[in-house]
Amino acid sequence: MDKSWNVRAIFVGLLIVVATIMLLPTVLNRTAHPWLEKINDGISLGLDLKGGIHFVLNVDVDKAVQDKVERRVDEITMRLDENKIKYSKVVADPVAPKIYVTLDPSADVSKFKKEVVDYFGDIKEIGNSGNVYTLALRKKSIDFIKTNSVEQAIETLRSRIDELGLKEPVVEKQGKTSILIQLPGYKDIDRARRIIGQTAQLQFKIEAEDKDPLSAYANNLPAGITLLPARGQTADGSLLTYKYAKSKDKKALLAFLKGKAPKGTEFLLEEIDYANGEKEYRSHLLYKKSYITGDMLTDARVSINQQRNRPYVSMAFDRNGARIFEQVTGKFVKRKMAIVLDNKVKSAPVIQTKIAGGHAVITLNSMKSFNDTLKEAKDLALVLRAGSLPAPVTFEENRTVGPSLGQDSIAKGKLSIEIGFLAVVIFMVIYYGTAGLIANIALLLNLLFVLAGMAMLGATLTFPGIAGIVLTVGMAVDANVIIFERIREELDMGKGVLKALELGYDKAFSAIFDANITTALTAFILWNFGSGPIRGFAITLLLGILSSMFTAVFVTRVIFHYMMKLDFFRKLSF
Amino acid sequence: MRLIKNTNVNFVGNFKLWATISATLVVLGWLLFLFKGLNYGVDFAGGTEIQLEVNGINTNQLRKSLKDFGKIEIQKFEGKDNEFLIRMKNISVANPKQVDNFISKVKATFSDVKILKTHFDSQVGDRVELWLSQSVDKSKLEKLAKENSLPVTGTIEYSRVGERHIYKIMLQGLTDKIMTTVRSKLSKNAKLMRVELVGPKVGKRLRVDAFEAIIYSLIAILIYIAFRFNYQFAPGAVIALIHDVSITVGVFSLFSIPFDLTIVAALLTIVGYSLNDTIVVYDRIRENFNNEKKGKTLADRINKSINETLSRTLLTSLTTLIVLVILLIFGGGIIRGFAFAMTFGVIVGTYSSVFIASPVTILIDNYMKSKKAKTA
Repeated sequence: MDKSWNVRAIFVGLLIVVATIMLLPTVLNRTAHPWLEKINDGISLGLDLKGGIHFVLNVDVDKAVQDKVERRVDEITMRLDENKIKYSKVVADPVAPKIYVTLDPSADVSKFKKEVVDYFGDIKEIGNSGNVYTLALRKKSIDFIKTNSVEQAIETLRSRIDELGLKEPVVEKQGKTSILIQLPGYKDIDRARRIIGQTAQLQFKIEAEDKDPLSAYANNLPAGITLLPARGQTADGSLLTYKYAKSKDKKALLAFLKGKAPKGTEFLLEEIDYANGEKEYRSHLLYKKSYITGDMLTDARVSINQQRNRPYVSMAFDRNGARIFEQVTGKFVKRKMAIVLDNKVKSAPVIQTKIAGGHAVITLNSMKSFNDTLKEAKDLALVLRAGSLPAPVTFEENRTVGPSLGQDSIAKGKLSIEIGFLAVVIFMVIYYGTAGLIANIALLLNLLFVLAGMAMLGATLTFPGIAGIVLTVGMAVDANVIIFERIREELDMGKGVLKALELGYDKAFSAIFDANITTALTAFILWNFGSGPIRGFAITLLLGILSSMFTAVFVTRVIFHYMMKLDFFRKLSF
Repeated sequence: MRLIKNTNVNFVGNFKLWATISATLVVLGWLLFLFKGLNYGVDFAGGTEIQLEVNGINTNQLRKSLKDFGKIEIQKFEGKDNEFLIRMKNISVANPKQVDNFISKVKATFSDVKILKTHFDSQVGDRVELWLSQSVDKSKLEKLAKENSLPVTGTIEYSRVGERHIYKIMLQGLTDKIMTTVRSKLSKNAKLMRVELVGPKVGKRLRVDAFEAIIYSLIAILIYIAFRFNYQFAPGAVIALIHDVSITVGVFSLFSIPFDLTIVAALLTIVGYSLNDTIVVYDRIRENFNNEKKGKTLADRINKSINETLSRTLLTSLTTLIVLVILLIFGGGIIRGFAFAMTFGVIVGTYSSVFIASPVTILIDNYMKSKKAKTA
């Protein structure tokens, strides 16, 4: 019998030790003790406590589908022209979304089906009346456009938010079409909105390989910046050599390049990510003039060259884009054309030949493994699509809390917990005497377990979450009150202290369990429904209920047992 | 110490009186909700709420300085002399109508220029984009924008791609505009404390979500009680919960207290809390259900059970009320609505557990018996 009590006591002791360890990263200074990171990341504070900006954006995926349908109309007409199929009209009903193609009575219908409808893999004929053929996007490709447009938006937003240089920004999908952005510590709402709300800018620019302004600084380089040689070629086949700069320090690199670009050109950077998470930046000298912008692009996708088993990216342009692309590639053949998204160079392929017809192919560096190349191709296609068909993004929510208000909230929350705790503790001692003291130990442990649980789960502490803790302090003694009242009843019926204690715990258990389960149920539903601050409340409430059941039923019982052993029960009062 | 001992109050006997009082309050709550409605906060109504700190001014001065912003609600932030709360329906300064007017003016002014594309997002309101077939005079564009009361920042970005001339006329956001206005007219040191800006679509979605969350928790509770207790207990518990929520919502309507997400959290917690009380009583009823010693009739036994648990019911409510009142006093303005809802809900919830939830089970029991008698 005693053995089982010892086991219980050791279990409680162990839990206290574990909970204390779990709380170390929250309590101690993490930069001074880096080993703490191995335990957990500590309880993080919600934006309402530490200050910062919270945005929810909605990606208009239906608009993205409509845009795609409108683009397809342009491509279908091009395709009809190329195959010399006569038609009178191609129109879109972007809301449906459907495309109506009116063919000439003399047109070759089977050729139309084979060369136009089947050509675009993602559309199908859904009916016809006379010469009017109704085409629609396949469901699979509609789904693809929808999920893809959210992904593209997240991708673009991430790279833009990097620009703000914040410590722990959050950009993540919320629900199906929404994106949650959290910028802790950032205050300038308007600037954040402007940067986030921009439409992605995709441009194609020609590299100024015929200019070499950096070589002159070869012997006079700031620390951390290296110059490397590169080769280019002019249209007539003569070789060009020039130098570009590379560095891990973006700021230093930008400072070094400042003012060194010849007239009519500019330096832009390309970011190179290494497998070990390090980043490096290299300079590109580009002519300022951009010939082609993203909106002229209608599609970009990854394909695989079956013979050489190499992934590549194919692009398609609209009519106007196709015409300009032909002129540009003709004029700058053998030169590098940089693909620039939001002023960052993403890739700089060499123009191999003049490209007509509105279709171009980008082959990638063949030095890498198949999988690496495939990833690179996918990223590039994503960049091209993000710049060509950016899905419209609208701001749905913005919540900003200034840092002083957050500090104020923390102070008020702390004060409320302290006073609330003190009041309940005093009340319990006055009302239950020694037993009240034991309930207070349980209450203290309860706070410890709730906080440790939050640290373990990586939960975020919000202001409503603090309110949840205050509430827990008031509600946690409930289980002990139920037990103690029951014990008093049993004592009234003339039972001995030992017997009353046992009966009190036994009979009270079902009430405690049923009552707490239902509160836990509502807390869980709240956690499911809520976001941000409300979730913080639900999680503290839920942990508070679970841990108060444990401390009140299990821990106090163990304490009582040992008090009895020590012949303490004479002083035990209820 | 012991305050409540061996009570023998006849809770069940006076049920008709309590039921009448409660039913009246519930009906009043519903009437208020339906006809007066709730004072939805920005979470549910959509719009902008700004909390700012300006020293040495009063609400009238602030209202006067912001009169150009149209319909705007200004009040002192509870418990602070130098903090103010601004609420408005808009979420950006420029509205689509102003932008349309501006665009048609551009068309009229530069008659030989074709407008290829325009872009304005009223939710962002950060810029108007114009794609033109020829370049135009920037200062003229800015003048036109000003004439149509667009909040220009003075920056117009220009870029040219092929034959497209793209002008981005940058606009001020609502928060920025309010802060610059307050800073220039009242005090340089005005400080932005908090902004909550919710688009109309989100507001609607959150309202639906909140309503669903409350319904789901009621259903989940009903199922749990029916499963864990006798089915005749469940209606009493749910009636008590509807009672608590209805009366609390009624009070929010009556005093026009802003109803936001934290209040929904409070309502759900009240549901859980009130049920907690109810279940402790039910548990005792379950225990005494067939115990002749506790009373001759079921009504007697139920009354006895309520009395036996009364001390616990009141004590727990007391400790919870202690911390809630502390939160109400020391928690500050942001949490005040929540603390108030909880305080009120705990009182109503305690009352309903004792006076409503348990007696209802007797009604159900009588009803079932009479039905049985009829069929037999």
